[in-house]
Amino acid sequence: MDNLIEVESKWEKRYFREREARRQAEKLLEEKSLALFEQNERLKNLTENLEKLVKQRTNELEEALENANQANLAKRDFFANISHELRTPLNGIIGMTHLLFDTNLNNIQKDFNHTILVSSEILLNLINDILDFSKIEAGKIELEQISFHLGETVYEILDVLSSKVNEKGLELYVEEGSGIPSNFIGDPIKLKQILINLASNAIKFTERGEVKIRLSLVSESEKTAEIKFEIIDTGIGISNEKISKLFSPFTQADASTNRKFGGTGLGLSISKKLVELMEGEIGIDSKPGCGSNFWFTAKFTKQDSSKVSYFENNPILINHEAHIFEENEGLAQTLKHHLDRWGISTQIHSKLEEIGSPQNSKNSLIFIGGVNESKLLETTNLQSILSNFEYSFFLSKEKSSKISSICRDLGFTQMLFKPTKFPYLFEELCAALRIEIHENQKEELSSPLTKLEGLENIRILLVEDNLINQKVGLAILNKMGCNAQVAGNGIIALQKMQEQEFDLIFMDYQMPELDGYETTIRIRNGHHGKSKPNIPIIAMTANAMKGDQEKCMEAGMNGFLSKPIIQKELQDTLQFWKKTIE
Amino acid sequence: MKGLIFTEFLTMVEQKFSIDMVDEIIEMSELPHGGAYTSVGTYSHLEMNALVSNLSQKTGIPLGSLLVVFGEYLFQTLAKSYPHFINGSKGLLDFLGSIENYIHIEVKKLYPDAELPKFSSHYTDKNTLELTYQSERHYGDLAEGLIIGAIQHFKTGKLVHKEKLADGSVKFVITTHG
Repeated sequence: MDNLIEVESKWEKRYFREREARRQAEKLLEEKSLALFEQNERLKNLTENLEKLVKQRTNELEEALENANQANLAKRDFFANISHELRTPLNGIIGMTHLLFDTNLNNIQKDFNHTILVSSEILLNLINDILDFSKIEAGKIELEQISFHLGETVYEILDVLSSKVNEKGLELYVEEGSGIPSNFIGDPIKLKQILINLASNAIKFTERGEVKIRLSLVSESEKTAEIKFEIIDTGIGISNEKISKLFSPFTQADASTNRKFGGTGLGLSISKKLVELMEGEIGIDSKPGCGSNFWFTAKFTKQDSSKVSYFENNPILINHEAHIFEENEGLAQTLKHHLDRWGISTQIHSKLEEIGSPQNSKNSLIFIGGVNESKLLETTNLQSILSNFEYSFFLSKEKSSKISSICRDLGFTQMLFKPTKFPYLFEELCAALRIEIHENQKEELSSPLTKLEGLENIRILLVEDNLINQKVGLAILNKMGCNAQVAGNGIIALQKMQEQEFDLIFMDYQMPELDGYETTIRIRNGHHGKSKPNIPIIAMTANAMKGDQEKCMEAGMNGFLSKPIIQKELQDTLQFWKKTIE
Repeated sequence: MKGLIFTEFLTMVEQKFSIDMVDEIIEMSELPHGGAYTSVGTYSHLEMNALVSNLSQKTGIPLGSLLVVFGEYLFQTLAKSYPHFINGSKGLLDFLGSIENYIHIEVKKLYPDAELPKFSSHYTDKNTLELTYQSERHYGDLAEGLIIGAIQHFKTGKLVHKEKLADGSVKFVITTHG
């Protein structure tokens, strides 16, 4: 019995031991489960916090984006307005300069006036460039596709740059390679913009010597040609490290450059983008102290034309001889190159005193340049040298009356101002040598204002608030023989229309009191007075932003002219509407 | 010390001696839990010291020999429960060499609070491994039993040298030569 109890209590102990072990295991399990649960909760909280944080950040970013977009809109509006403000006075300058051509001007005055005109146009283009840059930034710039003459385009920039190079006493000339086609379809304004940009830079960084624009043909296919333009200077040059930074916006070779030479640093990055649009490349070869070569290539569509090419040989001045003395050897070679092409046998002299007599004094020319006035006066036998030649030219950087009278006293027959547009010399030579040029070889420098037949019967109302623009517009219209009246704003215009009949309205877009948009809507809604209800209305706006044109058409206008008013466009518009009116 | 060591020890005592022997050494040891162990628990190594020394006293077998036998037994049960630790190795020496840097790391993943002995190892030639056991618990004999268990399992090699070092650690030399 005792034994049995003993056995039983033994098993009971073992049973309790096992139960205790089970409890320990269960307790452990519970603890581990709790730990797991808590771990899970912590993870869940972390995830929720992360989600909250992401949401918050997203909201912040959206707000920042909204702000940035608004700032961008404000910037665009600013550009639109500033462009308007700048264009209005320019309109006055360009318009008046055109009118000045039709007054009695002597050759020097014509030349000065031409410089004003070209410079104003460049300024206008610059304003466009600033707009362009914002478009470039937005990736919205497009190239025009219009026909242009490569030579004209390139030589035009000499006018723009002339005062800068002459001020610094530098030589500037164009060196043309052979076989370059002349007539293209492309964007000459943008091409000029790049050339002026690079050449202005070159002039800025060159203290003595020359800036040369070299043109060469890279490749040519049936329809297109790729042209290389190089602007080579004898300036300070740029080191390799600095070259790599040059094409990013607002960057210059270094910070000190800005202090010494000025500029925004926008030019090269605009140029780079434009070159890319012309399917070309842009680059620099330079070494500090050895000058720079800024070059770019551009591809244009070729165009057939009967217009004479500056790049073509035209040897009708055969039997003539020319002698050149010019300090700058490159310039002398370039002049010789042109004279050779016109059939003139040309010789370059390295010393002024050594120029002898021509073989035949009739049909002989002499060109002297790169000499200052004291050197001119010092050369003892200059007068007798000049007298040996039928025609003598002095290439002058200065335009002062003092140098003119010195030249006249010495016996020069004509002064040519630097930078000289040698191709244009051809006509002058022909005139001087009394040689008839074939009619189609004549280059129209500027199209004269012609009276159009039948315009006197067209009654025009010019609605324009700006006094300068009124004056320019009226003057041009009157010159063309039109019968034009002015209204200072929309309300006056509507009053005038009640009083008398008009055939055509030029309507400014932005005006006080009643703007062009509202005025047009009123006219189209029955306030046309004595005129026909469908009277053509042509919008004129300096605010040449995209979307304006659509707005004008929406209001019921029939055409669109961008200011400043260009005579040619005004003339074309009138001619177009003349038929409709009749 | 992991509860698994206790449960396996008591199982061995039950198999090799008797269930009464289990009762007796538990009674003699006056253990805090009344000798109730779960394999997933953790207990003081002093409890194991008491159990082993009481078994030695009861049976008259030296303590060291008991621990060696337990080590051999423990290896067999561990090999059955965790075969992947052994199957993954390229042989006896590779297995023994991987205790510190592989097996112990895996154990730590399951039982972060486990206090494990240190096994440093290096090959004196390509068939001879020197394995040094180092622990506060001084269970060098148990380690010897485990090594022997491994030799039996891999059916190769032999333990050629055992040396107690001055710092209390124990150096084993295992070779698979000949």
